Amino acid sequence: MNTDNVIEGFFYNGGTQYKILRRTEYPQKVTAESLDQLDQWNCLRTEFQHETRGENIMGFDYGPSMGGVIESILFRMYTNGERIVSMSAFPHFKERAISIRSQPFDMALMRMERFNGFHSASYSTMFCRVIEQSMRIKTTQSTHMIRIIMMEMERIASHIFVITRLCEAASQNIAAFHLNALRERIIRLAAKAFGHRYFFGINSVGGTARKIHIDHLWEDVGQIVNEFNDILKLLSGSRIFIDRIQKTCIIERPWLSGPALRATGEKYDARMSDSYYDRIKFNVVSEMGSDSLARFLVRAREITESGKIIEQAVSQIETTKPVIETASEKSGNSLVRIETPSGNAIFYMEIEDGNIEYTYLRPPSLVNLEGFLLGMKGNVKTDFPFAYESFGIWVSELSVIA
Amino acid sequence: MILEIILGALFVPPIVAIASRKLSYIANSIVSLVIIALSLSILLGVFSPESISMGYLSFSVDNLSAAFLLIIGLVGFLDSVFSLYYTNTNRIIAFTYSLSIYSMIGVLISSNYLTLILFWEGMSIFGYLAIAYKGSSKAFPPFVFLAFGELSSLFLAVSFAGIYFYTGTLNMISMNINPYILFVALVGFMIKMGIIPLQMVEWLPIAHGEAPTNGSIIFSAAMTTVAIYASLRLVMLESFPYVSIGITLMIIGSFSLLLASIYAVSSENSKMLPAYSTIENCGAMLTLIGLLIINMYYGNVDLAGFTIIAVVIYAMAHALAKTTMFISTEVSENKNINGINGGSIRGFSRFAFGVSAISLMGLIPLGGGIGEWMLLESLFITSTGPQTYISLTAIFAGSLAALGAGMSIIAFTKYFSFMSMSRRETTGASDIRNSLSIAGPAVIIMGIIAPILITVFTPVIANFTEIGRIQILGKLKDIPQGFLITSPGANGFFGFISPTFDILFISIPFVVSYYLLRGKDRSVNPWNGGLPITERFSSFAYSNSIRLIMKKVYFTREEKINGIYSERTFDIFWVVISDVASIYTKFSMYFAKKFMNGNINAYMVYTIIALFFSLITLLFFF
Amino acid sequence: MSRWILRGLKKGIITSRFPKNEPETISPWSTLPVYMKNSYKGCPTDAIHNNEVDLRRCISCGRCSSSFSPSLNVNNSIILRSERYLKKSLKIYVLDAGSCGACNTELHALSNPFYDMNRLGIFFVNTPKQADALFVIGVLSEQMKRVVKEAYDIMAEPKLVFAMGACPASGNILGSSLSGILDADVIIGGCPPDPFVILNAIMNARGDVS
Repeated sequence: MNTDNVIEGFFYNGGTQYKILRRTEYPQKVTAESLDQLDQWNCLRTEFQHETRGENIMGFDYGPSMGGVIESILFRMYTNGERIVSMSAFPHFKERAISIRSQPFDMALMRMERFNGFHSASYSTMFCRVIEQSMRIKTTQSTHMIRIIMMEMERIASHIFVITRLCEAASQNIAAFHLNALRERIIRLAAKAFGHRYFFGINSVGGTARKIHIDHLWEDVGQIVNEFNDILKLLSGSRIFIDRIQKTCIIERPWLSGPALRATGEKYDARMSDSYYDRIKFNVVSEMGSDSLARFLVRAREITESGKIIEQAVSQIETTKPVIETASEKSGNSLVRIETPSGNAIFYMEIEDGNIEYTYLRPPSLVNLEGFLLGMKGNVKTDFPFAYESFGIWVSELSVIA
Repeated sequence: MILEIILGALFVPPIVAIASRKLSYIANSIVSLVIIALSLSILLGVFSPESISMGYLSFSVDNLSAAFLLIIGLVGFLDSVFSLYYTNTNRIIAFTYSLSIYSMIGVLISSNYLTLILFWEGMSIFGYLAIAYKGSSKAFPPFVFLAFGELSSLFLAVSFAGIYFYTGTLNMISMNINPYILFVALVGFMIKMGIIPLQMVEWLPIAHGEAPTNGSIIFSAAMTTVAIYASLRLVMLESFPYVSIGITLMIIGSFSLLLASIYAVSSENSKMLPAYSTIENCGAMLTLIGLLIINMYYGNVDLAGFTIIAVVIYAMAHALAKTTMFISTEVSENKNINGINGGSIRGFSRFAFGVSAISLMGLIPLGGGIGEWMLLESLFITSTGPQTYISLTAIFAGSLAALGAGMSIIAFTKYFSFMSMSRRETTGASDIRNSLSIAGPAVIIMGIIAPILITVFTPVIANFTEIGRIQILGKLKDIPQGFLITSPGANGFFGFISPTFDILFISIPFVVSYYLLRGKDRSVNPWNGGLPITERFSSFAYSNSIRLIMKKVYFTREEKINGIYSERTFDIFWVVISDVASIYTKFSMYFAKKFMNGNINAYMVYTIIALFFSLITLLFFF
Repeated sequence: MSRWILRGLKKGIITSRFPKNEPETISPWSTLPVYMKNSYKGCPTDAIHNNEVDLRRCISCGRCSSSFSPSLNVNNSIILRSERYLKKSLKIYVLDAGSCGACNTELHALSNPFYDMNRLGIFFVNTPKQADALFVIGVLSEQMKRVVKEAYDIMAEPKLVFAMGACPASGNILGSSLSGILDADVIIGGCPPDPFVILNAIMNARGDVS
């Protein structure tokens, strides 16, 4: 299938509608009629409702506040008992209105870091890059590499976390503890190297704000990656674990994002066309099956790739001291794609006179949540945690950025 | 004297019914009380068994009939009291209802086969009239009821002719006849019980016909008990126990028990679910009768006596609890469990309802639990015997029975919780609180006085010639003599329970803590993720996981028609029979159009009344 | 199966000795900054007054690093009310009122072998009905207000409310705080608070550590 023309984002600006196609650099104008037939049209408008009514069908509410899912979100399963006929999601419960328009860059950056705290390196890098591109700020190679290291460490931590949650859901508690300890180690490494467990306060528009300490970083990361691969070998041998996630929540759509997309066999990764990664060699991982197992395997293999990327990036860093470049232009607009651990995020920004005029952010969880809802059709309620945790959806990403 | 009183008193309610339905029901309850008193006095030895004969009809009452008279009397009393509050009834129903009770009592006291088949036929006909009266002329459930009633009579007629051929008399005397003839008669009785695969006899008229609820109680709680009595009577008369019949009954019974309780779980009709449970209980009693034959054959006299007591206890527990269950269905006009407004079942009536549900689940210390325990004990004691094939079948039947008992817990948890759920959007029907409050305690009292009942029923064993008196009640440590129910084993006893003490141990701490902590309870909302509750869990969903797990049993089909999603289950035996019936109907429609043209309902009434009268005429010109 | 056990044995004990010993590590910019030199103006959350940092407001952004440096002090919480009855066992219900996800994962980290909160008698539960402590994380979004209230109402006494992180304590830079809806008994500073800081606050709230 040709996935180059997949519509990844959609927004209104000044009364005109724009779409963002995969592998394009700029938003294009579009008419409303051409979008109506779109499979992902619902989720692009942040609507996640698939109501089914009929004989013996009832709505079964799960959420918004429950122990099973770590964030607040309401799922309404339309079911006649065990089988999920369709499922709606209401993610607006914990929605925060994050205002960055007309804000000073520094304040806006701090808000973007807290847009999704767990993927803060990706989002803060994305924010900085979109301003740097718009205002033609030339950042140094070291800055690029430091950002890559942060994002890849974050990817390792995030993927391990998703796999941990998957193990917890499938009652693989020993594996979950081992993996959880690994995530703690990578986060501690981050705290040692960057001063904060979640990379808050490192990025700055034009460069980095703090001195970092990356001696022996890649050896330590390499060790963690090796240990992870050991655990993976043991985990793959567990029939119970594989049985629970195999053929669960099969969803094969071209508009999915990140590991969920790559689990359908599609070799697409926003890092492929990312200028930061020009001097870095890595493989795009893909799996067949489109089920929870495939998503799990994509994540597991990406951890190894991230380890390789960190090794290359560390060797290309020239200075670890904070460097901040200044702007050469005051206005501009640009679109940036970043591969966050959950999938590719798209950020479009217009800057007028050093002032943020318009922003559009399409987080990966937006499309992946829809994918999860569609994939759950026909599964039973017990499959819910194995399916949900395999997507790595972050509800905090569905907050409004304006 | 006793028989004359019973036969005479039973004439009163139908005659009164011509004047007023209320008076008829009052008369019925008084007659029931009289029957209870008379049967108790026979069991306690105040009056001795007696018999009379009038022309070709002959009647007698002994301990076995007295025990079942007591049960039918209790059901009749509770049902008549309920009928007083029941609005959906009229004089014609009261009339046919009274005659149904008459016919059942008649079966219990008949002492020749002609009398038995006459009253048996009366049961079918008056039952048919009771359900057919309200139904439209095209409603076929009453026809099914009648058709299977006639089929049952046909089997009985064939078998009784065979008995006459062997013994030369139609009187019920001890005999040694060909086992096939006995089995044909048993099949006739089993049809009336609705044993699988003929379960539609039981649920179809009750659930889909517009049977009045007091009539449903008669079909489900009383008529099946009468069929059990008749089977037991015939087994008792057969002097040589055929082990093959015993094994067959045991297998059919336990199979019915399991399958009926599985079907009960998936049932969404408030009358169908208890009807399936009736089949389940009949299966259990049939298993016990099979065990009786097996143990008589091998000379395990103690265990045989134990199974006889078990049948009677089981029948009584089932009859009482089932009466309460059916009374509860009148809480709502709607018969779909999902749409029932059970808001009026509160307080004591809810307790009474719950007690009968627990009894039908087969949980100790209530009557149903004692019966279930006696069934499982008999099965497992039988399996310890030396004959390998008997042991294996008994173990197999025992596991089926245990599984079935487990399934019935699911069925009745669902039934109790959804039936007593308040739904404001639907309106209730009759006020059933009073009748529930009378019927429910009967179930719990039965549990408390279980040892007394066993003592009262022990004389029944004496009817079975080869069995003497056996010791079922015993004592253990601090439980005084008589309060411990034991099952016979190799060394003294195999197992034991004490329902009286169980009830005391459960209720005393409950009552004490309830009164001590009154007013200190804290009511909190359920946690629904922090939102007010907008959706309700449906009874369909409650049992849907079982529908999905047991796809092979239910033939579950998941269908999506015009975007509306539904999931259906099938009673496969019914599907087969209804297919056959539709072929037959097509044929008879063709036949009817060719040769007859008139009102089918009038024709049916004509046919059965003609049949009834020809039978009576036959008696006098024999 | 046996390979898991072998692996577990090979790893040895990695669990912290905290609170008996000092914490092994702490994320510098999760702890409260202390004054070093010069004066700093322009704190984005207005947390600095008279060179003192208000832990309710500080979001550990590190913008003040020219005159403040991290204290590395694990004691970064305000205990308004403690509950000695919960000393042996504390069941926590976590309520996400609008967090960024970092607090969620830091709480999740408490159960990893490094911190192993179970050894201190701390457990997560799945419904507030079983909970002794309510952990509110994130800024209070409009729709979660009634959820927070409802959760608090159905909890049984004795109960504690923890406002975890700067968001519920002051609203951070993103929204509104918990005040007006619930009164927090314990306020834990940090954005997000380090797991050791959380453990320390829990121990203090039940009167374990003087």
